[in-house]
Amino acid sequence: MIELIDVEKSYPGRRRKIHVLRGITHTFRRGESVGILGQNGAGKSTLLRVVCGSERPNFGVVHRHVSVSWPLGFSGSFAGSLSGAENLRFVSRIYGADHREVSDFVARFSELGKSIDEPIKTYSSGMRSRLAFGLSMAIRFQVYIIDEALATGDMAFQEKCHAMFEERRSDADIIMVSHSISMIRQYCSRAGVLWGGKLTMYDDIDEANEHYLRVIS
Amino acid sequence: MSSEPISQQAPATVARPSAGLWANLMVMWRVVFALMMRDSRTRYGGSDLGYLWAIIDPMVQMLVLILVFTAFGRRVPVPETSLPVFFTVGILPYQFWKNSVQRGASASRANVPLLTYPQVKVMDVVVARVLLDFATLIAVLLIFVVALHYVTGEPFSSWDGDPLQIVLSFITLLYFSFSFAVFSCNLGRVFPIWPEIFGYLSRPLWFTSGIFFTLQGLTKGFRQVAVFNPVAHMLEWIKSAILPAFHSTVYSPSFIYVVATLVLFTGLTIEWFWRLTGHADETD
Repeated sequence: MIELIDVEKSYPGRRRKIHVLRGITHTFRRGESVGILGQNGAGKSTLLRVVCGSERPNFGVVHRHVSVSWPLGFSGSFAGSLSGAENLRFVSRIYGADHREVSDFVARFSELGKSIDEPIKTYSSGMRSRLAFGLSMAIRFQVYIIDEALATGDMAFQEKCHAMFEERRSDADIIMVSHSISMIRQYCSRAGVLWGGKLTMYDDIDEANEHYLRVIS
Repeated sequence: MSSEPISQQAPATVARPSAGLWANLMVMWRVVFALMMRDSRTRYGGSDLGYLWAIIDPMVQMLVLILVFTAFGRRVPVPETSLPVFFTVGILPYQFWKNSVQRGASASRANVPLLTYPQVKVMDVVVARVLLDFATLIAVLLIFVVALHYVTGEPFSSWDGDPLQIVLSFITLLYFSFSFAVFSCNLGRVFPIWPEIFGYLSRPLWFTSGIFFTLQGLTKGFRQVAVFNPVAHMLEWIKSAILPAFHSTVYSPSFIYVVATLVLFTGLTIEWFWRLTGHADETD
């Protein structure tokens, strides 16, 4: 489970502090997948980054008793001068994974073939994001973090991602943020609303949706 | 495509939450190692030829200094030591220290996206960069020793002062430079202009750090100024350790350790304060 206790996060703006999370206390339990609704700029991505550990909160603590992924499909870390395989190797190393296994899998799953040994700067943006999603699937986490999109690329590749994910979900949970209720309905058992820096959780997704529609109107 | 479902072809590596000091240290080492390997491939735009720069740059500095010294008829400040040897033991450690400060200053800027991976911390980036530079320093130093042997017939015995002192002084240099790198990294997060400021600061430092003189050999007036420069103490120690005919009595290891530790803690305090006042781990 992942425990957030009184988590606060703010960023310095040009004139004043921007409070993004104002005291969030919540426990994400093992075995339940949670969707969080919020408008653009509500702090959804910040919440995810704090949950997975990319950023530390200013105040409050986060306890993680499970392995948590980075935001799915994250490709910002790729170095353009390195090949796809070399970029994969970096992530394999920090997770202690066998890099040959990872790169074989990703080359096949992402349909990159021999391009995996070409520098990333020669990739199309579609190839880049396929590489990123393939990599996200190459390491098994107990909790997957999803920022809006589960898959990318053409229909066939999206279906493959969904199928892969469906299988992975048998022993993994999801924490996803979205402004669309349909994705949350498909993958989550509970939902919450992030509004004004506070998180309100509901056992029932419809209730969460009602709350969400009320605050945005 | 093979007929088996794609999901079964996935690698079996399972990420586990790490608990305990030992496990966390292992994770940190994995991250630092991965960063070092990555940095070593990207440092010079992915070109292996770029590493020649690490040799050419100090070599050019040395040639210029030799030219100046010869033109002005200056002699080596240390007896029984040739100019190339004397300059090598000054230029290379100074270069390492300066690189550490510079790479520290840009550490959080250059590797921001990598911090998204939860186990990669700014501190890992600094450690990895300093270690990679240290490995480069040792390699370049050995290359110089061998090259000078074949080019100018410099005997290997010109370098074997006191092995224990050599090891001690280099470990101290590593700690010293790491402390400054941490300080520089955090200063760079607070004042984005810091790398440029250091560019100017490093010029007077080059002249007062003892690359072309020894503290011992300075006249009293000059020495009174130069002893406030901790880098000069560091270089004086290294020269005393490596050069068989040089035993300086004016450097102070405890001064080096006090300065390094103060600088390290100042850096960590800035980090703590910076985070508490609501700044992100990264500033884009």
